[in-house]
Amino acid sequence: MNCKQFDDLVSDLAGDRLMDAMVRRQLLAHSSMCAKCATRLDKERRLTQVLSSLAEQTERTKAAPALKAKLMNAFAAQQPTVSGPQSVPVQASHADHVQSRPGQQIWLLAAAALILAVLTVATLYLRSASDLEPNLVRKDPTPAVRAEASPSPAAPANQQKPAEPKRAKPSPTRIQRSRPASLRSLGAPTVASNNTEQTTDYIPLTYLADASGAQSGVVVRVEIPRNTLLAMGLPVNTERGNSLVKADVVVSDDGVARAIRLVH
Amino acid sequence: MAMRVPLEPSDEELLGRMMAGDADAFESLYDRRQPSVYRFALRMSGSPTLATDITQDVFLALMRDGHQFDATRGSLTAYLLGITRHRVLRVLAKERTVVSLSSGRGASRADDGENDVSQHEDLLVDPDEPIDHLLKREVVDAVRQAVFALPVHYREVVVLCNLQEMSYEQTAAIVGCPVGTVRSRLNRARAILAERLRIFEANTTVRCDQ
Repeated sequence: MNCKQFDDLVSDLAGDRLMDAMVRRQLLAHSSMCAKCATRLDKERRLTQVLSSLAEQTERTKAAPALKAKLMNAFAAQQPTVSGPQSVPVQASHADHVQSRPGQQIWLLAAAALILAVLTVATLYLRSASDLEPNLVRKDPTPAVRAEASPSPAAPANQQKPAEPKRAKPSPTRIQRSRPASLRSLGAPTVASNNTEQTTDYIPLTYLADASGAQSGVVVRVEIPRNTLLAMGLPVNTERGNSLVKADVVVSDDGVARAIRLVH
Repeated sequence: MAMRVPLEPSDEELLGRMMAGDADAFESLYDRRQPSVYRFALRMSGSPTLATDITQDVFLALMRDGHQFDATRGSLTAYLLGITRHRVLRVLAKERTVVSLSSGRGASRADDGENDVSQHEDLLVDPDEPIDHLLKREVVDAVRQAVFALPVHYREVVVLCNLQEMSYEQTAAIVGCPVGTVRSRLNRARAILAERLRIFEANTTVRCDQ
């Protein structure tokens, strides 16, 4: 061991830091033979002693209790407030906090179960719906939606096309048929406004036993936030929740949205 | 019959619960980690006022950005002390102040002089205090001033390794440099402190002999 190596490790030796036993023996042996390094070791030991005393002096210091109270209030203030029995008041006692947590969890579980159920039903329906062909009648669009309506020709309201079983993925310009009779009486399928657009299949939005109001309708081109689609139970990418998505919505004469398809 | 001692939740468990809105988890985490955060800020800045402000900032940042903590990259203590270090360096760069703490006199610009570290340490002179204790206190005070006089990158390794007893690896994670750099900075810093201590004690011995 030389003085440079000793110099690199002397503070570890003086501070009793964990080190290899062989290295420790070498350091001590060197200090016993080198006066300069022995003096350095003494100084380091003395410094270690004083630094320990310095550490002890401030060991029990901590921030004032007022800071804790301030931070606890800040923590409570930044929690989202939820109306109803699940809301946790800022000054609630510890017991109130304990009781509201299970209620909040149950609510979240119920919401998650509902969304899962909607998604499951929609998925199952899409898989089994192989012969939907909503006959859409393009009536004179209202002024508000004239610019958005698909430019397909109108067809007689009572025209019914025979169901055609279709297993392959439909072309973007066709509307795939599905089982519910409420949509069969609607008019001819619309055509995408330009060849660069791709659309999904129409997804029914209502499951009414009485479909008498659904004899005819219009297709309306809209832009909807992704979050709205998610709330409707549609499987969309939630990472861009606020971005807008184009969609064609089938609105029957009674003003009810019957089906939706996404436009890419 | 063997008693089963309930295990304390880990920092990561408390953080997870805290981010889910559990106020008790935040309180536990605060009680557990605030002392080391506060002491690091105090030992670096020398001002209890600054240390309190910095501690507040650190825990507010934890509330806001706790989801960014990655347990695979280090402990929560290292994460918190890393944030503390950034705040301290920003404050010190702005203040450009080296705090002088000499038996309760002298203060930084950020300190009103009434809240300096001496209040924590009870440095009032007791006439009955043995002379060796008094001398010891003077020595410790001298080293404290010497630590504050060190450049910041030397000071932080002395505070973390020698005052807060962090390992080289933990210190390296906090200051964001290799272990070898931490060791060499600490070595150099201690050499400076040891020399200043030697000079102080030599001068003290001369005064006592006169």
